[in-house]
Amino acid sequence: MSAPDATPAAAPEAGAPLVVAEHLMKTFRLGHGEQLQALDDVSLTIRRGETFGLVGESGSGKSTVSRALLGLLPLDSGSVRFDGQEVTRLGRGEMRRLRRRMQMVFQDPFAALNRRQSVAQIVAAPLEAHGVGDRATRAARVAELLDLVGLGPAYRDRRPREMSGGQCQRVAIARALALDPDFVVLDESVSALDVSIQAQILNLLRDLQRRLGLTYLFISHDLAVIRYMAQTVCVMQHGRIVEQGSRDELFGDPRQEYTRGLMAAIPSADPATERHRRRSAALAEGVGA
Amino acid sequence: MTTETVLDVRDLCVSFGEIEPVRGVSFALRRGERLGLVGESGSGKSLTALAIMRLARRATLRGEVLLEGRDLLKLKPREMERIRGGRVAMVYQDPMSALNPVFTIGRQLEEAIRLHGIADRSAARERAIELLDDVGVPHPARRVEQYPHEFSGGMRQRVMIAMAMCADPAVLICDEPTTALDVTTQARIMDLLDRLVDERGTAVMLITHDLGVAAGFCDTVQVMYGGRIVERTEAEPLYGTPLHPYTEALLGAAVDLTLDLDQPIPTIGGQPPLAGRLPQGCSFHPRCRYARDVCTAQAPLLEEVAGRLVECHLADERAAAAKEDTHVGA
Ligand SMILES: Nc1ncnc2c1ncn2[C@@H]1O[C@H](COP(=O)(O)OP(=O)(O)OP(=O)(O)O)[C@@H](O)[C@H]1O
Ligand SMILES: Nc1ncnc2c1ncn2[C@@H]1O[C@H](COP(=O)(O)OP(=O)(O)OP(=O)(O)O)[C@@H](O)[C@H]1O
Ligand code: SF4
Ligand SMILES: [Mg+2]
Ligand SMILES: [Mg+2]
Repeated sequence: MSAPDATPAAAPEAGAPLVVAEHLMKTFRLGHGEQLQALDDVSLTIRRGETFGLVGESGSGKSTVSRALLGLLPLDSGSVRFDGQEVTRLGRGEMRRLRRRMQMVFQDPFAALNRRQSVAQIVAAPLEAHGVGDRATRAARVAELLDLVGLGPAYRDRRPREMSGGQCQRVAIARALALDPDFVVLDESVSALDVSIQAQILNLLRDLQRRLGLTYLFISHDLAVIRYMAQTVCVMQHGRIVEQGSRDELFGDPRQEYTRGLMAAIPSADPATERHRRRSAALAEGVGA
Repeated sequence: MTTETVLDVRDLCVSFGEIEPVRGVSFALRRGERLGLVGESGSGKSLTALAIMRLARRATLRGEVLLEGRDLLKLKPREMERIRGGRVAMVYQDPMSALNPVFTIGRQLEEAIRLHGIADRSAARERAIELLDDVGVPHPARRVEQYPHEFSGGMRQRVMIAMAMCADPAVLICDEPTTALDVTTQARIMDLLDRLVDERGTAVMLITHDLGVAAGFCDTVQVMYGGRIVERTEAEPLYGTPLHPYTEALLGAAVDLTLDLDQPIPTIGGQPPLAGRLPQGCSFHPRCRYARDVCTAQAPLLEEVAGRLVECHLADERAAAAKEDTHVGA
């Protein structure tokens, strides 16, 4: 640790907490008077400039956590601080200003895009909403963003319905980057992409992070991708955080049975190994049941 | 063993005015076959599937799609409606637009079930709950009363799978059915598909960009690039010795647990071709590390080489070299 006076107080320090969530609780109604504990005492700290990986089985609460962090979900209790500000208690104006600094790429790319708008309009929308630049600078920025995600000018006038799943996903990523945010939530954002485009986008995200000091919350079911991207990894199960640690800790020595199970289930791109792995997993499950 | 062909796609083309994203795709699917369709984003995988379902909106379709001998492209919309979700069903890539937000999950499943067999309301409900349980949705009896937005992303994906299985189709097309699913749930879904093939003889076409998932499930894999199938063979030789340079590059770009964290991930480089503005000759040549003069001048044809189908001028040469390698290795 450096002495406190070594850095000027104003400059945000890399590694300082950016998003701090404490004791988040959320229940949803499940019908017949039953409730679902979607978040059960979730606490986490995301540091400036890092990629925080979130993994866990389908329905474990990953997307719900991310919505809570962005102030998009009314909580039963708990607190979320973004850069020192309590997100849950902000007025509309303050929230609007904060929104600019935090962006999200949603899990379902088709549903998240307005199907009546063209690609250029979709990517320009946040710029317009926040009154950034004039028409010409906005158009230039849109072109630059589309180029970044590997979509040439030919896609400018396409509508979401006229594009493939992976192309829609890249439009969503371009839109999220439009306002130069500090914090971006990427919820299964590269899952719909083929390996090569996925690699391009992951390289791009890491590059932007290095250049601009971006902070990511990265949700993915793909542990190989998580390992490559995240410095800190958090494992969720049934609305709770069951394990949290550095990449090396998690991948080198997972302590929880549950985490070890996830690791063992990573598919391999080799037909013989993969078939054998899946059959023995199925057998093991059959014996356990 | 049956070898009866259930789906025979012949020279299928899908175009939107000048743009032709699917350019002459042919393949056949036998009863109980597990076929994989992999390839770059935008290469035409979903459009091929949607064309088979006659759901490619505003598209012009050419060619033949023979399902159990009947050409689907010639059917009246009303006839097609009966077949869709009946003899041929599909798990769509975007669950949210395939589900109706104002009806409960249970109601939508029941409707699909009643449309294709079970008429009794309470029996249909029971079946719906059973199907949700099969795809691993917890508390299925409660969950049937919820709306799509109350489900997590991965659960919606699984509802789609349950819905497609309702009618016991002869052909099931799954478009990225497990993209956003964690590995354990993914394995569960793949086991379910395995059972469907083994017990019912359903022919499954699996569209995926996940080469690991394709490796574990498929007997045969075809690789699509720029609207054409460029390689088709059994899974093992495809992964072991890819003959088409694009297949080779695709396998090389996979993210796995051995990646060097300090280096950028290797990519194929260059951009995918734009439908409507395809390069002359072989559409892969601007990105191909083996490209020669002939590649820029002349488009290769899909030909049988060493027991598989490959569309590349160098296929023979590469097959011979691969054979040499295995001899040396042995
Ligand atoms: N209505 C349309 N008008 C014009 N082009 C279209 C239309 N629908 C699709 N396309 C184009 O056709 C190409 C193939 O799309 P398709 O959805 O089949 O890709 P895909 O292989 O499924 O990709 P992904 O893996 O990203 O889902 C894409 O380049 C897409 O932009
Ligand atoms: N608006 C809502 N109303 C009721 N239940 C909800 C709502 N949103 C989420 N849930 C429930 O909360 C739980 C957690 O959902 P969440 O979307 O956070 O899961 P997830 O970890 O992101 O899963 P996936 O990997 O499948 O996307 C699920 O059981 C889901 O059904
Ligand atoms: S035909 Fe030529 S350019 Fe095309 S894949 Fe083969 S070697 Fe490469
Ligand atoms: Mg989710
Ligand atoms: Mg697709």
